[in-house]
Amino acid sequence: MKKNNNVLDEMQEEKLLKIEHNTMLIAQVGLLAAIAVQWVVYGPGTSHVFGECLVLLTMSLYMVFACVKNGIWSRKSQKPSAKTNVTISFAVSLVAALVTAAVSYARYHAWKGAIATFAVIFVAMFALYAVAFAVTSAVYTRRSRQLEQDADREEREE
Amino acid sequence: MAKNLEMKLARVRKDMTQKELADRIGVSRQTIHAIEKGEYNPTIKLCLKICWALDARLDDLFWEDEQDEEE
Repeated sequence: MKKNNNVLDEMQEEKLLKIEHNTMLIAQVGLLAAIAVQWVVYGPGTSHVFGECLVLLTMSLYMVFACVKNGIWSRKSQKPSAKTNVTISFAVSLVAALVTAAVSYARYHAWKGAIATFAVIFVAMFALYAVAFAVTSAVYTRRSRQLEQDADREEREE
Repeated sequence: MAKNLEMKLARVRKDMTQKELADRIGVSRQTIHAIEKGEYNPTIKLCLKICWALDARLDDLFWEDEQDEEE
């Protein structure tokens, strides 16, 4: 007989999972907010937000790898869509570029500099996100196909 | 958890693939595969959907003796 050290029943276990899910959301949003506030207060750069960036990156990478490994794309769709990927890349890049340009203007009071910052950040982030989404979509599609093939093989063998 | 051979048999009797059963009840094929392999313990709601789709009863597909469950 297996030794079970977990004293929670199944309902308590499910509630704990929900609590942990909410805790992770708070941690992600909190880290983003902490990074944003420190960028506004101390200016752009990674030296004073290195720890926060590292934790956020680790959490995000774990989530992406775990989801891809288990054949999960999102709650809305089981298949990646180029249109959705481009839309999200555009929206995130736009917000990031606007925030960075606003911080730049607040610090240096130079319109041209702020516009240049906006353009550079927008293009760089859009390209980065588009590539990251394209690579992740391709890896996810391959992993999904592999899971399907494994299930097919096991179904035939049984 | 042991493999759910009763569910697999009921599905084969209905001449359905895992994918067809999954589509019928609105879950992924991976979920059906995991239930049949005994890797996932479905909720009672999902058990009922599977039973309705396979024209079976809960007892037929998901009953386990207490001793089997403890092992």
